[in-house]
Amino acid sequence: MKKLKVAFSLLMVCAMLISVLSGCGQPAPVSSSAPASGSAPASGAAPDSSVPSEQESMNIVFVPKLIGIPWFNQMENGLKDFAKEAGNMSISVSGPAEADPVQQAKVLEDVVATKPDCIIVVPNDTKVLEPILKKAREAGIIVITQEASTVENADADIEFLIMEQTGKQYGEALAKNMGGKGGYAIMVGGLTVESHNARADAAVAYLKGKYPDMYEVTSRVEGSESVEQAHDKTLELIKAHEDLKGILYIGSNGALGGAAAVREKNLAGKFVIAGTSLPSQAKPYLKDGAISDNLIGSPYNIGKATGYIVQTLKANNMDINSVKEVPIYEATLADNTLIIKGKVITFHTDANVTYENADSFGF
Amino acid sequence: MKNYLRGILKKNEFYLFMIMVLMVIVMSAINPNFGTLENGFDILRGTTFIGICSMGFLVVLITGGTDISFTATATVAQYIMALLMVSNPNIPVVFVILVPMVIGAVLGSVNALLINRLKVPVIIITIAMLNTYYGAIQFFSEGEWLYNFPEWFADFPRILLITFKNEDGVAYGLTSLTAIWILVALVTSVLLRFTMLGRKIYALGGNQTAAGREGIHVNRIRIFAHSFLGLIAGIGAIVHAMVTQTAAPNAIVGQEFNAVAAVVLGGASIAGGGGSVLGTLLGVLLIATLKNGLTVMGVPAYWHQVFIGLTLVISISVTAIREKMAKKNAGGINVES
Repeated sequence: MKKLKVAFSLLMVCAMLISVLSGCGQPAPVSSSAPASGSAPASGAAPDSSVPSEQESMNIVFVPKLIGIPWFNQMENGLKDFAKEAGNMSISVSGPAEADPVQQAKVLEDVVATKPDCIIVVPNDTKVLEPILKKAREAGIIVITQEASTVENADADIEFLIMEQTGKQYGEALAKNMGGKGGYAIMVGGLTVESHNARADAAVAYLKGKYPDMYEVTSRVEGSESVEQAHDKTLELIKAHEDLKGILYIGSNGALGGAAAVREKNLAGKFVIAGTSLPSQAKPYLKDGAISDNLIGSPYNIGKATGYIVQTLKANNMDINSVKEVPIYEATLADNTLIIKGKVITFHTDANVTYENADSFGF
Repeated sequence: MKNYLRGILKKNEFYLFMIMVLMVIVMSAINPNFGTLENGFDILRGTTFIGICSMGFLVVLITGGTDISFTATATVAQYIMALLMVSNPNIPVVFVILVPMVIGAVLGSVNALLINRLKVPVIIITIAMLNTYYGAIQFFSEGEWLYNFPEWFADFPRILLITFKNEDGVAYGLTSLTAIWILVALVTSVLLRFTMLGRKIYALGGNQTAAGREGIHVNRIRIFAHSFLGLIAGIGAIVHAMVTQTAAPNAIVGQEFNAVAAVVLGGASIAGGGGSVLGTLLGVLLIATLKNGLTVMGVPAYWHQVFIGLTLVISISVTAIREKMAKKNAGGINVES
């Protein structure tokens, strides 16, 4: 019995150690994040050196929501490639290790202290960053934000979604594969996810106007955040509605589950699955048509477009109206694919993912 | 014979079964596609993960304990298994299967050791451990998904043990994954009903002090029960990864109460000492059938949670009322189980 007790206490110590260690694991990156993030880009594009150019070189620091995820890595690559082509820009990256407003504020403060020419920031929480952005602008730093349309202390904010265009893209993804008629359903991540439902509403509105022979067979369904749930719900919907010809999935896992379900029932290519999944995950399903259409923005192109806007603004004394087009997206003020309201610049970045181009998205 | 029939009528499982039969009849009348064999097998496959986990949870609940950290345990086990497969596609199959089970059992026993030592409410400990395991895996994985598993891992879940064909010529039937669930249920059933260990598990849940005085090693039984749940969560993790063909660090946590609801609906006593494998199976199937049926009948998704909640409340009330009546009639002595 005594032996057993000793063994137990040893195990206990191990268990405690494990839990203590894993508990402590969490805060560790916080303290190390700031210095680590500075060296993350590795490519040697330090803000103060590199670009051997006769014109004055513009030092730009990119502060994403967090570093180390494919989305922002690709955006960084886009920015850097644009800078290389432009010749008079140099890009460095500094960001928190987690998508945490407080950590990001700390990183941003450090960045402001180095006095770069321009900061491009994607805020986790705009309000938290406002005082620091104010300080940056007072120090003469150009401040550009992404997806922060309510920002006050910025020279310009860039948005990537025009709702009518989303409605058209989503609607067409269903309509062109369904031949413009028949019943469809829309699966969102959750019935209360506002951004998903707004996009779903836009698709329904577009289809109502353009394809009167198409109709929703049921009210909104939820499950697009889980492969498993989307799979099961898809099978159920197919059984429930004999006139159902296609489903639109808003949420990154929906189409993956739906595609698995139609493959299982030999319906790949016959039943329409349109989604918004990650290109690398959708790719195998795009090959045999289990996913008929997949729409998502390319962070690489977004990076390039952001670089273009910074360049244009800088060349025109920060006059927001000097931005008349975004070539990479063929967006122009003239045909309303580029919208400028106050200091908010909006254009639409979702693009069709195909089996062939899936790898070019880089995530 | 008459006594036997009366015995069946007294069983909780009988009422659950009747509710399910009624549900199937009503739902099939509304949409004939519901009452098909194909839909039945789809339901089975869809609820396999919860079905497997609920077997482990049942055992812990019978000891009078609880442990909701099994979803985090499964996440850890699944992620490590996936890492092994992604880093070396030729890794031996035995390894892929054993590793998550061992990890599950070890994490489960850690919970039990903490419970034995700390004597704090069990639910608090397991909530803390759920967060610890889950937080740790979030940190190590950085939220990254793993996919592109070896071919055999994708092929295995497609194996059908019993095959039928629908009118389009598509094969459906009893999948290998559902068979694993049935196997787990059988093992649990044998363990609980026909082994000394099983009887001790019931004894512990019935009255811990009495069990201790009778010479049952209470702490050891508890360690066994929680390790068993962990091991089963490990099996669940394999099955879950086979269904989704991905390992996402956030896909499983959040489902723990589906298993809890199924086990409790199946008639297991929250206070411990009571519960059966058959009841739990019926509980799992009832919830899965209801969820499936609501969509197939075309009930708007907004109402699903309400219906499922109401069904739970009604079923549990019926069980509670019947138990109360039975106690009254038996003069306060509960002879069975």
